[in-house]
Amino acid sequence: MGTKVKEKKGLLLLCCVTIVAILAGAVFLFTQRPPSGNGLVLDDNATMGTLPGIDMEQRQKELQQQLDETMIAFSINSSPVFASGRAEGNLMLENPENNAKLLVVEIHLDGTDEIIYQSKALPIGSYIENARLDKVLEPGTYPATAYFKAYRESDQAFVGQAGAAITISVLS
Amino acid sequence: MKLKMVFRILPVVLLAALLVTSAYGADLPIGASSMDIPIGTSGDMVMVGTVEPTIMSVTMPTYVPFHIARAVQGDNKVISPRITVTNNSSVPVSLDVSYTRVDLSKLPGTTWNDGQYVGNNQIAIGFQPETIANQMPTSLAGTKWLQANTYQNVHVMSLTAYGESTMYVVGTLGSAVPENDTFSVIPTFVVRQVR
Repeated sequence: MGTKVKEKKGLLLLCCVTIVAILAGAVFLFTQRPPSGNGLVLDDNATMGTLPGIDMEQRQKELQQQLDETMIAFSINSSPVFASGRAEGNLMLENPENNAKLLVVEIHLDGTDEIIYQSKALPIGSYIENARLDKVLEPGTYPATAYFKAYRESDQAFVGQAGAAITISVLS
Repeated sequence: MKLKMVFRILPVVLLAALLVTSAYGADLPIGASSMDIPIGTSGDMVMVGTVEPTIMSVTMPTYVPFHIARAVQGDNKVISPRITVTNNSSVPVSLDVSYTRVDLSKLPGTTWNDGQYVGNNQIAIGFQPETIANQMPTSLAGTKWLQANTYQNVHVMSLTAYGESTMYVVGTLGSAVPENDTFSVIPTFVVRQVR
């Protein structure tokens, strides 16, 4: 009795193995069959889609996105006045709320390019109304350029700079 | 008796007080913030004016990315983003390029040109105002060319009060300029009040 059951089980196992082997063989043959037509084989290295860089519109969109990220807004008094070389003057520097960047302001005298003022970083949505210059200037009028250096807020990476021409007056 | 005395003195005191107040008002010094002008007399009123400082407020790019390729149709070989500058202030301003830092070190043998007619190994880059909305220029006519690594004052744009204006990077390159490498052109924009 026990021998017959064993024989049946062995037969069943043999059938299963045979079926699996037949299926595996079929799958192998199906994947390895030669393509129809001229026998071309598709390249595994090919990526579906349009080659990057060929679409000018797409490229321009990418450039536009890069440019938009570097835009800065700022405000400054075009003619700040200092009562004396050591006094505070109304520079009126502003880093508006819509900027999303930290700003550092450097003022250079035109001609000599000497730095006469450097702020620390202005947080977004802040301003400096009055400030004292780092260099004491004699009474007179000085053409200068204020450079706004922009830094990304998240990692403080330098983004770029823009300038504003101003005229500084020192009264006495 | 005392009440009678009070009623006799009170009008005198009130009259005296009235005269003293008028005299004080008439003698107010020049520059006083306010004064009483008695009816039927004349007085000087001081008007103090304060000149408000002119604030320049603008939104502009700090970095301008662009691509250049011979395959681009037309004389202009640059693919440029649309560069819009906004004047948020009540005074007209102009936009100049004061300096352009150029690095061609990754393009061996290539030199800079500050005009349209480039040699085989030359590159020239400039700015051109937008003439047709949202369309990059195809020609190089009217381009403000940038000079490399030297101080300059190239006027590229004028903006009315609260106005905005748009321009593009344009340029060309010679046939022998190597491809597939990058070079950098970093103009410093300076905004100034138009007086």
